Amino acid sequence: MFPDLAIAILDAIPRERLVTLFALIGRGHWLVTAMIWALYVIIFFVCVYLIRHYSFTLNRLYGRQRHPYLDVDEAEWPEVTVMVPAHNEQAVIGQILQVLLEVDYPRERLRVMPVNDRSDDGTAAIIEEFARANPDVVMPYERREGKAGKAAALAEAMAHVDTDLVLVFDADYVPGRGLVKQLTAPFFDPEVGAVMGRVVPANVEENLLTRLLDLERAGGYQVDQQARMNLHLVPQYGGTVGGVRRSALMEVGGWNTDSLAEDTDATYRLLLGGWKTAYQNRSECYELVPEGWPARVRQIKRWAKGHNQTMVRYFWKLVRSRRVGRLEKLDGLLLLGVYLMSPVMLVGWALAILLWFLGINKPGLIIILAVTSYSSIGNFATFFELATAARLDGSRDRIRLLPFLLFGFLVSLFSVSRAAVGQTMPWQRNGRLYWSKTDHNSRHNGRRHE
Amino acid sequence: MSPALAIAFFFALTVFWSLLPFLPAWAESRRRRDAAPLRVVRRAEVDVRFFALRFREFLDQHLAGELAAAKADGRSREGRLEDGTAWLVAAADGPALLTAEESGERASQRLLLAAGDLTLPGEHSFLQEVHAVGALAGGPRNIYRAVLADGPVALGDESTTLRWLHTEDALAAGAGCALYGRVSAAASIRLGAGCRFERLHAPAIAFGEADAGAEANGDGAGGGRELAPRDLPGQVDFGAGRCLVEGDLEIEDEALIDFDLVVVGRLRLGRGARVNGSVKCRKDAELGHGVVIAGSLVGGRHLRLGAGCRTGGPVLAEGDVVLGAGCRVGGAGRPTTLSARRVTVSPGCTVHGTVWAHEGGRLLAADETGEEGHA
Repeated sequence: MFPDLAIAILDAIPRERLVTLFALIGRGHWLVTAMIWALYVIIFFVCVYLIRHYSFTLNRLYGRQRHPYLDVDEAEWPEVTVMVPAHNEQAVIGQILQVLLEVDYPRERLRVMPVNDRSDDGTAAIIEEFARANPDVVMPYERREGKAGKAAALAEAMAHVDTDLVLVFDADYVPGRGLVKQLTAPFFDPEVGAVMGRVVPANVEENLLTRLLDLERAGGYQVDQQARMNLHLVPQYGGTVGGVRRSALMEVGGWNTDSLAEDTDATYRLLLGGWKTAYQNRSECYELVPEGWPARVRQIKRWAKGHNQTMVRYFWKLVRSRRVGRLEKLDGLLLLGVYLMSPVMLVGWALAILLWFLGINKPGLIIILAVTSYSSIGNFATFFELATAARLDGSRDRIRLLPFLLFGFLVSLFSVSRAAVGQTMPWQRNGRLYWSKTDHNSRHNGRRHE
Repeated sequence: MSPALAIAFFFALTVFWSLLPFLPAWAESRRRRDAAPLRVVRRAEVDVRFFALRFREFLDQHLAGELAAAKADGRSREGRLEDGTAWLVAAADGPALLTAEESGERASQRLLLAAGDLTLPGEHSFLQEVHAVGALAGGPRNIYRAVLADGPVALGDESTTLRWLHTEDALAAGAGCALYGRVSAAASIRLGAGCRFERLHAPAIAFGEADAGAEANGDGAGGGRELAPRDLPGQVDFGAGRCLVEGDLEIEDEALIDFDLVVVGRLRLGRGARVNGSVKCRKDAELGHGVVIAGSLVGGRHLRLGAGCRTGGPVLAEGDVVLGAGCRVGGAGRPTTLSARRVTVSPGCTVHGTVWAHEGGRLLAADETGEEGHA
């Protein structure tokens, strides 16, 4: 089938050009050598990430689990501000404000700061109502102009915060009663600059996409983040269901308003500044995941762009840093490169196919062995990780959905690659930032912790 | 078989083999047997009193009437629950609690509830929950599955609790008790010498008798030289009120530090030193006699506090914690948390709040305190 296809393609190319092409890339030509070596490099990086996946998964299955701050249930709780950035969130803002007013935290030490960022719906009125009823706790901040984006909103509002600890929840999240205490507890460690809790999809049953995203989230938090915490690596601050030590963040430059991923950006600047990010796997909070593929594609493209921005900014700074330990550095660098691996993989596939159809398969057996080994073990790494996460969560039947993740990965692969390639285009480098919000489904607004 | 048929067969087999994993996936996507959102950990479940509160709910639902009646008419009652579990509600001044058979076997399989105070003989096993509306006093070497009391609880020497114990008053555990599971008291807990424990919670937890000689009030701590960040060898960064120190660090006696301290290596705080901030040490940390830390003390490995040390905030160690004689963690009205893999405590220590010893804790007997008590 494939040889026929290749022949058909080759037939479509004028013969004189084909002869020239084969003459150019014949055996031993420098271009072929370069392609082979490029493929080797790509395989090397794929194997590095493979080892990373297995290390994290095996650590979660058999390693010592670290939850150093989970036990803090009594303490002289510090003053904390909970920021809720909101841009046209009238459907959900009331719910999260109500929930935050009922959390188990000394009221006199709690500030709730809804940040109304240029909303043109009923968000402002709802916030105003809560502020009027709870003037001692709800201290809203409203911006009518300025740079768009969550980072800019947070940066501007941060100037009006008078506590050293700041937690951030997106408006469509529903924190449980004990979550503020749980996310504040790691800050008793003076080395902790940021803390991250676990995000759990609430609208899982909506459709196949939400079920697949539920599995992906489980892998990302239950295995990846917790393994990094266990191994003293680089857990990532995710921008919501988490918080920062304001003085530490200010010391390293505050929120980066130019970043599409201000959370990842903050993680790396804190890391370079000698601060740690703590991950609390048992500090869970429900979220709504995208329910349609277009929204999912937009979301992952935004993540990829933001992450790649961070990589460009901090890759060499991290390489040169003397303050960051070797393993932390390695993990940090690999984390920076995760979204780059999609276009790299695509290039690898293209090279492998091209070389195969050109009849160049030296050194033969080793390549075949490598490819088959990777196909049987390497491709399985991510599935193994997600299955492990589901098992750790006590889920049983949802593991059966794993084969469908193949489609999710393909969509992510091409979306992320497109985002990465787009970023290299000159006309996209200085693109304007905008709020990219997850579509809300009111059917699920209301799930909360008991 | 013709070549074409063989190819077709091989092709079909390959397609079937490739699609095989999708069959259970398709079935699950249609049936949605496991499509509910993940159940998150509820805050109430990690509450130290969780089981006690659930047991009280159970009593309120099933046996509250019997308890009230026994209190009113002074007569004991007994019966069985729907699952066949036998129960006894003893009146305040009722007859002998245990049957002859139970006394002979030195074990009771019944739920034992007392409408007033409850006194239990020694060397018995109580394999169901025990509840007293009033005070509860147990004899020595008893084994309790779980205990709930509204009045003070006194456990005889070498008694054991297996799952949980909660009192709305004070708990006094005799020498050599083993308190497994969650143990909480609304007023206070006092442990006798040699007690073992896992998780304790009370406004004040006293470990053994106070040792006036060892306890330091902390007033004199930090009376020596005030150290600035630049005075610390290995200091690599100072910002946001935190000083980061590479390598090991030794702080001189009675030094005063007015910022948070993060040490990448080992740390030794000299006798009588005072830190008006929090301390983090990624490796082992040792505090000399009478050291005061106003904030929290966090250790990546083991923490060893000398006699008379005081901390205001949580003490968290990923390894073990050793408290010398007369140490105090937290303060009256300022409860906090001590958490470690193992906790070894010398007599005379007080912790206000919660103690978690994940692999067990132990209060040393007076004759064991030589090294730990006077570090």
